[in-house]
Amino acid sequence: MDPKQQTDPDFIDDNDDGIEISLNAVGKASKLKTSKIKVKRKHTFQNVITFVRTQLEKGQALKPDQSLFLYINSQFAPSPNERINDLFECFKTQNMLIVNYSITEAWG
Amino acid sequence: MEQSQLLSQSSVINTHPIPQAARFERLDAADAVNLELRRKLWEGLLPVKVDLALNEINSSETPRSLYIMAPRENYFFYILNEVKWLFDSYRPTDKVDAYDEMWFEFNNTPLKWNVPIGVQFDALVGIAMKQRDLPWCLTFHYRGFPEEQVLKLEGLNFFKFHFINALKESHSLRMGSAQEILANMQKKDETRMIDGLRKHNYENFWEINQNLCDKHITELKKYALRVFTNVHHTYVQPNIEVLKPQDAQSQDSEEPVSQNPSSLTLGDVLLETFPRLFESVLNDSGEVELAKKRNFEVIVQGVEADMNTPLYWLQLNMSYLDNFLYVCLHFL
Repeated sequence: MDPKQQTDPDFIDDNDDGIEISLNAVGKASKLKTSKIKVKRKHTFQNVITFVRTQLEKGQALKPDQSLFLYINSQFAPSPNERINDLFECFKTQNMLIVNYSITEAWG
Repeated sequence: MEQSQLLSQSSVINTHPIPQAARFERLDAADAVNLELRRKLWEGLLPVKVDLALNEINSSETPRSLYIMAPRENYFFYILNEVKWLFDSYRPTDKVDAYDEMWFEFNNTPLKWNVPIGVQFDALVGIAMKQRDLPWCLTFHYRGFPEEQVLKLEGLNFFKFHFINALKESHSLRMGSAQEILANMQKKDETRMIDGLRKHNYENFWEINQNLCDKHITELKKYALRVFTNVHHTYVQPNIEVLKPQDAQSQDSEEPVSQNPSSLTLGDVLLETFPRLFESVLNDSGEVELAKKRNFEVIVQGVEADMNTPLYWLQLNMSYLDNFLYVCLHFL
């Protein structure tokens, strides 16, 4: 979860705008009930990782000690503390951020 | 002494002439790359002093401090073995290899495993007050990893995972996709790069990375830039296209809008990305120049950056090992 960070408003615009993320299962990973979610720009990628993890664990599709890998556009895994806003602006396609998730290292 | 070595290294970098933007169009990437500078940056070292967190000492004896020279371009992972070698004996034996709980700290700020050492130093300490904070005094913790803020080091393999993915991300940004790495990089090349990092060996690292880094400006789609500061827990990664999209008017006219992508400067990009931190002002000579609206230093690889530097030149010559150009804003 995003901590309550003190943010310098001259450096970062921390409004509550959200963007759309498309979640796609890869390989043996189970499909999620909600494959499209809206995430606030000011949050970090950790939010998305936690969301997918929680959903899969709830549905018994993932054990707490099992690895989960999340990729952007089937190309690379961003670090958890990257901002959603930045990932979206840099890598969006058709106004969405495409995230693929897998239980094994997919594009290593 | 290490400190004067640092300062003279900085002045060597500063006096190296920055090529004029106009010349880039006829140059190969190879001509624009300054190999001497690349080697100098690789050799840049920071004197660091590490102490074990007081509340974690499991003996009546206080461990001595570790004094170590840390390569600016490398990661904290690089000094981890030396740190553990000194402090492991002060901890219960079953607690010394829980890598996912370890972390370094400076002045109550947790440090990151996936951001280069020099970037964090420049952002947190800056240049003006540097002498006061050398050697850089850090505290090492075996447990209590502050999960919210720092990327977790979940075992030594994850260092490799995070580095290779940062490399792919910067490639994706600059080239439009990471295909070159995904399709062409062989296991042995990857192993060689990682080995170059773990042992800080220039040849092993750069023989592989040279092909990924040295691209002509006409091959680039976007710049890979990250801005790191002492006022926010993570970096900002702006979207900067090399070519600005043509506007509707020019598409109809007979003359194509000529763009000179190599004329884009660091100042141009900072002004556009941080309008509340920078502004254009008319100076006494009637020229437009960039001014800061607050009190901070703009630092690249340990030196105050010249706002007129072409961004392409910086991308090629002052990027870090993941091929991201890190610009640090140290607020005073």
